[in-house]
Amino acid sequence: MRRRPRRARPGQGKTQAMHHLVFPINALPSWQCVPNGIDEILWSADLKALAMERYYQQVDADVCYFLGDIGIQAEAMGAPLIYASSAMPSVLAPAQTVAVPRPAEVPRMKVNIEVMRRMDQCLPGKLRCAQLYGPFTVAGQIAGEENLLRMLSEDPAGVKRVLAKTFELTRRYALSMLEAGGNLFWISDPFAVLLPPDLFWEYAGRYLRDLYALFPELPTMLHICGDTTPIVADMVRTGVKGISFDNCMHLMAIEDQVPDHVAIIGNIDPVECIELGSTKDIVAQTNGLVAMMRQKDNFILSTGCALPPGTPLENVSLFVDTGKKALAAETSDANTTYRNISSAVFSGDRGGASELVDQALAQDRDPLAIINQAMVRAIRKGSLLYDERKCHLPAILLMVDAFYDGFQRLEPLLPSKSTEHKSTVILGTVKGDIHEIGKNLVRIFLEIAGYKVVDLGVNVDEDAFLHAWDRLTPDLIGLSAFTTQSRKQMGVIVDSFRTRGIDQMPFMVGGAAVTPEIARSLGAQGYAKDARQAVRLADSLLGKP
Amino acid sequence: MNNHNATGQNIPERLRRYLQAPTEGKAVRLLEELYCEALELTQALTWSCSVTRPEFFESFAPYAEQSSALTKLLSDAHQVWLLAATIGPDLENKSQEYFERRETFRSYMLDRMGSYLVEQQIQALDHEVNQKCLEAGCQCTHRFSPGYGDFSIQAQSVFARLLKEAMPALSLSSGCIFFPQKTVTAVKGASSLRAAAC
Repeated sequence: MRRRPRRARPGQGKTQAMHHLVFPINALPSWQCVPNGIDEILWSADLKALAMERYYQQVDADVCYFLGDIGIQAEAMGAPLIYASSAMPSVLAPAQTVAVPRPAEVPRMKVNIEVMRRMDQCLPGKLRCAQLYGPFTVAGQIAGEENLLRMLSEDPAGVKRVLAKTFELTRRYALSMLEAGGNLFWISDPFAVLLPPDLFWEYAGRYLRDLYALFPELPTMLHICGDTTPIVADMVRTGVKGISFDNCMHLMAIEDQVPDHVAIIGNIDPVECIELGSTKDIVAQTNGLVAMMRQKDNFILSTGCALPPGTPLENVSLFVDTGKKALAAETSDANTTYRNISSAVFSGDRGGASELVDQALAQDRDPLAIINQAMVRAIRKGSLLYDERKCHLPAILLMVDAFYDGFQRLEPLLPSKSTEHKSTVILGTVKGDIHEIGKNLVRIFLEIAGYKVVDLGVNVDEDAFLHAWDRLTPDLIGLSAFTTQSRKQMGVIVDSFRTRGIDQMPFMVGGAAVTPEIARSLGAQGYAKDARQAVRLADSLLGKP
Repeated sequence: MNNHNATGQNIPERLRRYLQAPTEGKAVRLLEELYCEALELTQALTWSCSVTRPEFFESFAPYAEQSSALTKLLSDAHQVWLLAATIGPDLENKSQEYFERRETFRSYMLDRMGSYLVEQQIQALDHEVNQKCLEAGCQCTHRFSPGYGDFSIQAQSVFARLLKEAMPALSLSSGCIFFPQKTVTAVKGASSLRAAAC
């Protein structure tokens, strides 16, 4: 007799149950926990369950997966897979004939159902994730991805016939996995990102909605790889309770598109950071993301995609442990305070920002935390949106003003200010030029980014730069020029350093008279077209995160 | 501070785009106020005169002949018009004052408004000269300013001498940039359409 999928424990179906979870996507590195190859593990419930148990003994993740592979549904429908001992299987060719079998009759699905049953027993307090692939992704696998995309215009009805079948198998498999003990329903639909955004709903979104609607009381999550910015609204419309974003996206840039009752899940780089990064990288990037996102109650810390099978297990553990520690570091009250300040700065509300900073100080909040977690966050978010042309320059400048109003109150309270600066930058408009508004803006943005900036003013000659270098030992020098003639002076200044043997001092240049090519010809290490770029360039030249 | 009843229509569309401003919202309201202030701080003054082509090259020696772009531009001209426009020092002083008070929005936006307003002045003057020339049967080249391309900024020193009486408040920096900075100078050629002097 068929069991109904068990209901989530009280509260688990709500976003609150998913508050500030930490987990990496999937459990592909778990194969390292048993001596067998992946091609063997995937066919054996005993091996897989053992790998899962050992993996999650080592990795204290809040959500546990079962080592899912992207080809399992397509294989069940008739597409051949290619297996390897140290890599995940992949689809070899489209299906010749398409079947919609019962999961209990598909050998590898039976394995996963059994593994889920055992996870239910050995991981009782955890969210156990029934991870499936979306109907559109599976349709691409069984029909051939290029072919399916072509069919969108040539045979849309044919696409829908394929989708009806992949939907049905996904529905059956989901029911089986949730009946076996899964208490979180996850769909990855990586191929859906290739759909034109205006077709996403018709060919992917509405199928996802219908699947999630089958399990209204369970926590549900959706991951689509790549830049999903244009389809965030449709992803929300599926009714999913958590959206996982690829690491190519900035969570702050899309957070306002995700309602509070839907979790924002993401998005540490699984490869560059967790698999290949150093301990320092993992800690810094995890703490950095948490610092930016923890004030969002609907934030869940995860990876931006699945961890590769070869990811060192100690790196996975370090990520999870660091994330949990960082998320536990602030109380909910503090997060609310920072969120309100951040919001006031973001909306350019000078009076509001100052008042909230005063209130935070009265509550004994750490001035540095107010700056970094509330005020700098707002500027970063504005800058991200500006880069994506979703925020206008005047709005950014209003944010800067609100930032400074709050900062004025905090600055005297900061402990040993100099140690908090990233690096020292000397700025000046070169000799022969007196334009300074652009240079002033660069100064402000660098200061907000944590740099100590010494502004030499306008009409500054090489001797003044050399004198300042000698006195201040800066890490970077920024030169500005507005006129064609004065830009020649930039070369004179760079040369004056080089002829004195000061070869390592990096220069960045900018201003109306300069282009990237001219910057190179002048001997500068970089060119920035505006204040935002100047900060990114400074970070890059000085190796700052 | 101002008597204008600021509305969204106060900011010309071209200026709004130049300021990279949205079409509505808080920033627009503040920009409307600031634009009124910018207009009040503007003390526009324009000047123009025409000289023959040889007179021009003599007066602007050696800078004019050193510029191949300018020489090419004026190759058919029998007459050269000299143009200057300024909006005075008050606006940029105010912008600086805002900057010192850490009012970045007002400082930066006022500065850009100043650039827009002085450009409006020189454009109007340019248009006026074009009309005069057209009425006299001449056609004009586009404007060309010292500091652009290979036309030396030091040519501003010639303008400074010529403008001494018309714009006595102007001064020149050692790098040949005018104070007030919201000052624009330019030259343009005029050539006969009907083989007649204009």
